[in-house]
Amino acid sequence: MGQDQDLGPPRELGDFAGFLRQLEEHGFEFAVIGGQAVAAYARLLGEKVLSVDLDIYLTQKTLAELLRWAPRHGIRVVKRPQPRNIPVAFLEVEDLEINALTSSHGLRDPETVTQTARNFRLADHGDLEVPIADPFELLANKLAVQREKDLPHIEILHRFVEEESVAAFQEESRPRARLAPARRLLGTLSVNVLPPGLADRLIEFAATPVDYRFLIGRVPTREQAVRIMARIQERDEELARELAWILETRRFEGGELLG
Amino acid sequence: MARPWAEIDEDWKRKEERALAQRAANAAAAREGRPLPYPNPWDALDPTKLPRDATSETYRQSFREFRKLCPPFQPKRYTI
Repeated sequence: MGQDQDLGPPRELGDFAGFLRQLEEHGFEFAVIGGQAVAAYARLLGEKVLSVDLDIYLTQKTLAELLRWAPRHGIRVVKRPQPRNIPVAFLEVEDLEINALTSSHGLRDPETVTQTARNFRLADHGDLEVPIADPFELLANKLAVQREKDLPHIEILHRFVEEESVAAFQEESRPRARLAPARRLLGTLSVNVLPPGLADRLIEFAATPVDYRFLIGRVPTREQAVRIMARIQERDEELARELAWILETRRFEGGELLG
Repeated sequence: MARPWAEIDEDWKRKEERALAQRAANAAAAREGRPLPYPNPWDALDPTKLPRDATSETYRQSFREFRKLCPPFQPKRYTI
């Protein structure tokens, strides 16, 4: 996203605080996507990501309203979205570049993305709350766009959602809440088995029959499946029989699970 | 074997006429303050269902109780 040929200095999300506050005060519904969104999740992992511009995602109707509103509020509309072209408008505030998109490959519709956005409070900017697209949505977007330069962003998002999956096993008590992030990760990656490292960590925190049933069908290696069976064998014979039955229906080839 | 289209259309017409007649009978009963002859069967199971003569404050209280059953979606919040 953005105009690569006019690369400005790298920016932090806080650099756009003035613009974001204006959007907030005027009630525009949007979600931050792209590099600044990844930067927000990277901060939670203790890392720093910089991006030249700010990408916001919004409905076509909201964008039309924003484009009418912008010139009266010190925001220059550099380029409007053109028919049969990439659905993006380019804006400028002082020397800040903002891209307003209404669709992006792999990203769900703007209504859904804005409604499922997570709120990031910028502590250094008067408690401004910024809606950032859900990390699973961002990961799906980056994977679909498939740009070489997005590989570091994909790695950060993947790591974040894996941490969320482990945290759910550690902290949640309700079965659906315990499994939800891991399920979403599988869906986002379009795979049936968990990444091996994540599977190891989830096995350590598995505690309920629901956890074990979920894992026995999704761990990638036979060794991990055997480890699960060993954990419950002496604790719950009935569950052990049930899991053994599930295990019999799975196939491993060379240590790898087939589908 | 699939049913002929004419038969399906006739079935829909009959059902539509029945539904409209039931709706009219309910509306007449409501106007006259009588029990509805064709009540919604789900109303008996709905803990939030209010009588027709409920006051504004009763509606507001009912909504507050409903919100406890079905709280609005709360987005995750972080500080950076």
